[in-house]
Amino acid sequence: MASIEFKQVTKRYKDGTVAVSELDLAIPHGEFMILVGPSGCGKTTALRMVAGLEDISAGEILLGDQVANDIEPADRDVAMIFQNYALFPHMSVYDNMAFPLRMRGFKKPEVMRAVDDAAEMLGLGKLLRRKPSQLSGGQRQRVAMGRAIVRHPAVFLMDEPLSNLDAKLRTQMRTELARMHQHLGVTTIYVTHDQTEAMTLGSRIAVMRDGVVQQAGSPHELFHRPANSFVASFLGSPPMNLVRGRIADGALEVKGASHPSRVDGRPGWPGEPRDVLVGVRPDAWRIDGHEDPSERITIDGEVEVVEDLGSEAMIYFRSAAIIAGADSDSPVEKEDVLVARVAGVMRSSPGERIKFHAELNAVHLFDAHTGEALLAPDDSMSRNGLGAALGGPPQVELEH
Amino acid sequence: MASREESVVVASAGTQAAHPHAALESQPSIRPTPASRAVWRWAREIARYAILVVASLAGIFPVLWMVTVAMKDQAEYANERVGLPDALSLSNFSSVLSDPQFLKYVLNSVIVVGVAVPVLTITSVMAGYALARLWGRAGIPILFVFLTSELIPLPIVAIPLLLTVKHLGIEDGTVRLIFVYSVLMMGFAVLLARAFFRSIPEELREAARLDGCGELQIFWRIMVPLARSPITLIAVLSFILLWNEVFLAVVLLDSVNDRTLPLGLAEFQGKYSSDWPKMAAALILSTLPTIALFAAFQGRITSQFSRSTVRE
Repeated sequence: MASIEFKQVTKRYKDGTVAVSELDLAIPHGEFMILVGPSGCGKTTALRMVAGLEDISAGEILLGDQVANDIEPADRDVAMIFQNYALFPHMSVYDNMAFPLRMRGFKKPEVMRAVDDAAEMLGLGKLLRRKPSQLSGGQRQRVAMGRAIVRHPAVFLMDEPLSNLDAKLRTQMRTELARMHQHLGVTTIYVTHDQTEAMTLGSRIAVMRDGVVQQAGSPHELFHRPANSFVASFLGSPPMNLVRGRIADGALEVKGASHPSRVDGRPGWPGEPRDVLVGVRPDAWRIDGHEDPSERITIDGEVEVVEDLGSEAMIYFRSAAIIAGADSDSPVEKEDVLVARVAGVMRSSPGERIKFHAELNAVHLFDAHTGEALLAPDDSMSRNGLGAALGGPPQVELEH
Repeated sequence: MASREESVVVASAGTQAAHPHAALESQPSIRPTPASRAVWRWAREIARYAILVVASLAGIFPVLWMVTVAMKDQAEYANERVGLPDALSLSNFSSVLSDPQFLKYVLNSVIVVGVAVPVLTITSVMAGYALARLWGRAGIPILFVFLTSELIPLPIVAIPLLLTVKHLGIEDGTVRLIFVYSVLMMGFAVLLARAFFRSIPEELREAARLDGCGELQIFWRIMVPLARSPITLIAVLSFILLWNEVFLAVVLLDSVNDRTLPLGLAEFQGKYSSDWPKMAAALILSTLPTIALFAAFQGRITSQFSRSTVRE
């Protein structure tokens, strides 16, 4: 059984820095688990601990049923794909792929068969005689994968394998990786800082920050029900808008909004006074002109930047009230810049005044101090997306 | 081209009136025309080549001259010091080569250097690798020792070295030299090897470990094959330096029979005192190995100097 389990795993360096803190994570056999997070969050360290390349300061890592803490990397039956591929420069592609098998004492005919199979799967057949320096980035990447595959290991460990490739190649290789996983079904831990990769590749994602897992679950779960504001703003591109607000006396006052919204009696909303962060996904903004303080938050916005992507456009705006209140010299507060995703047919230009609305049913709510999630919209609400952005009547009413 | 220059001139003229240093700038500056630019470029090239040719000739002239001297006989040489020989006579070379004393010196050098170079190459490469990747912080004091050993001038160390080998009871001159020569070049060799191995990404080691390699296997199967350049550099440079080494040979050798070539040549000066052509022949013969080696490995050595990094 090639399952992996982290039990209270901690990595502490000699100077005191804690790279990974009490990590608990269970990865069943065959799962494609993605560790994602910003640089320095501990994801690579966690991966390397599974490989045996880093010592474990506390806790246990189980491979299958065995505690693997003290097992040599070579004996763990794991194969790793490094960010820089780590191919042996003086060996041919064939020798690179054959190396792990030869080191384990496989006989020549077996080695040849395994390498040829892997080469065929990865389209490397014609490149077997070449040296790594004669290959392109994508080809080297595939050789690195081939070297991992030939061993038929119990676990694949991938450390940002696509980050050195150009955007187009990355998309291509992502599908190949997905295909490979479908075909081989090997338990995999994949580390990346790219949330798009995380959302598209994994069956499960674990978002990490400063050595601590923020949330682990399916991409859908993490996207629609983030456990805290960090996860909410990490996944999704452009990231979720997080606006400061305060709930008091049954009213929600949002920084920069045209008017407070009434929230008393709304199911799930906090009753006591609270500082909150209101989370609005870029595609949740409506510009249909329908203002209603009991159902919506309205921000009278001034467009600052428009990114026209063809089929859709990103409109970056700030509340006109905030702009008016600030000096012309003071720096733009990053948290005041909001983004809306609209359909491509919308034409908008900087300086334009547009009223953006967010349904109270469609926003996320987080505690302003801890970041903890207080409220998430129902799935049915968030399905509305782009269609409503065109300014048509909100689909919400139909489903009532 | 012309219009650009024109407009620049016009522009500078326009600013003259307002500029406080208008008087200084009233003369239009001499702008190079395309033609004069080409002439300058050509002149620079010629100057460059001229300097290189002169320097090369200055460098190689003594050697060439020695060859001409070696092919004359004493009488001819006395008549005409500089100038081409009457005949391309190799008689001096053959008489040197049939001198048993000369051959003994050659043999001594071959033995001493022939053993010292492989010993020091293998040891320093292993030490360099260990210091680069296996020892971590603990290796720094050792590194320091190697570094400082390179800074100490030989004369200071010579007597202590003599005392040491005597103390160790090493009587045989050849063995003494092998011993000392192996260590002599260590500092530079270890530093070079270490620098090289540090340039190899740690990930290659990790990948090899995951593939089932132990430390020794990583060293022999991956590190050494990658280190062909520095290894060649260490071996060839050590050879050249040790082949020509004379100072320690003087200090450490007792018997005439143990003498290495450089030392022997010095003694030849007395033997062939007025026979300069023969001396020249002896000198040329003794430098042949080093020239041959350098010529053979020149490519690899210079590539190591220009340090193309290991690409993955």
